[in-house]
Amino acid sequence: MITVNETGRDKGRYLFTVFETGSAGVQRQDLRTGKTETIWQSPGVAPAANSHVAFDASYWTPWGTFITAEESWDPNPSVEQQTFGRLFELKNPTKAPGIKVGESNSAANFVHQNVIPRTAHEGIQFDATGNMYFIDELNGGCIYKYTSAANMLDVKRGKADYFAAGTTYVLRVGDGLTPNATGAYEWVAITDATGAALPGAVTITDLNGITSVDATTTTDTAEFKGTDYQRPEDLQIQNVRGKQYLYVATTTAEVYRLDLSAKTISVFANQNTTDLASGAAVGTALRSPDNLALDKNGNIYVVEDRAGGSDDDIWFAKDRNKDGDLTDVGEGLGRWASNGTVGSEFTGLYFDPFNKRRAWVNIQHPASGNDRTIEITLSDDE
Amino acid sequence: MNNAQLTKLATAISMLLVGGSALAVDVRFQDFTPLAASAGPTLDEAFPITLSNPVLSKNRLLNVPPNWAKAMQTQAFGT
Repeated sequence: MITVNETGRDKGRYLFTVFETGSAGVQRQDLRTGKTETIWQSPGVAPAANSHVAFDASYWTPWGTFITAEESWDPNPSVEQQTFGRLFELKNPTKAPGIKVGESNSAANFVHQNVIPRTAHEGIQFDATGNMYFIDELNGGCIYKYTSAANMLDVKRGKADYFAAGTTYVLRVGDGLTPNATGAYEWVAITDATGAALPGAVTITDLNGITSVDATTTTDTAEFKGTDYQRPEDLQIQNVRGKQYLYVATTTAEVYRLDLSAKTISVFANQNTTDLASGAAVGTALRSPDNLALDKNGNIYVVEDRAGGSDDDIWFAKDRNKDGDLTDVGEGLGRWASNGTVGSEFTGLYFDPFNKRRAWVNIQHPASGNDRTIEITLSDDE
Repeated sequence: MNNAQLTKLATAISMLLVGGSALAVDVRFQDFTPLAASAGPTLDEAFPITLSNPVLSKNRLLNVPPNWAKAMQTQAFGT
């Protein structure tokens, strides 16, 4: 995925993306000079204990740091992935020096924030009050919220550490036993306010001797049962008339919408949604929603993880009245862009928060091996 | 209204008209015609994306990063 430095000195100058590979890393591009550098690189290759795998998340925090997290995670103690599923914070993202392959990362202040339980991470979002939302990307994966014990004003002033302590909750609809449930939900704590596992919650100790809360296993137990969704992927927060809504894409071709104040979850888009090109249901033309994006006008875009050169598309969700469904007259999904690179997938559509005429998207894992970041701009010829 | 005043009025109106036409229509990313189908394989990976509005801009090669993207390019989106 992609972000720019959204706050602080030189805001908007640097573009960050990550390596979703067996040797994960972080890349920074100076949009002013065009210089592109790797600023952090995994010192080891999986399955080594010092390896880092499949960074996917790529977000700027409200207090001016960069966070990423590993999509690779399996709590089964017999598999190497048990070491992964971590969230990392790069505390000096604009100052960390560029490095070459094999060089030390020592000048990058890159920290595993173990207060966040292990999951197969992807989407991460912060709401207006500082709660952080994340997911577990697996069939039956849940939606989570982390509430820091720190005061957000102190965090933003650099006087408190957001990840020093906090409570993680899982989303539950009803008794939590109905997969893909919609309706009223509650947040069920799985840790205490320090971030430690509550009695009955499950922990793991990885190859490095680090003990963490295992969110995947914990939220399958009766006491902490979270509602299962089918491979939750990216998240996106939308502001509408003073209220905040959290969108969640799932691989099974749904996009859900959470009303964060009313605590309800509903289906925003799925294969029954109207295709704006044909007027018929979009059907299997919409598959494997992966990333979500929000433009300057508050519109949601749904990015597929499909086969480039065949059916890998970005869909624009036309919600004319912003009421959280696409069922009103004239509403639906429109194929906004399509990827022709064989073997690749789109990832990380991101609209420049400082330039309403610019966006970026990555072309990832192509057959040719030539990954690319593509800048899309609006013509000024009108 | 005398001739001088009429001239001033005409000038003002013409300036307004010129100014109005000079104001660009604020094209947004949401202004597009939905594609009817997915794109087939591209012949040029430097321009891999079929957009729902005509591609206008030049290609911009910014850098060749060591590990990840082999190139960064621009593609324009507009009407």
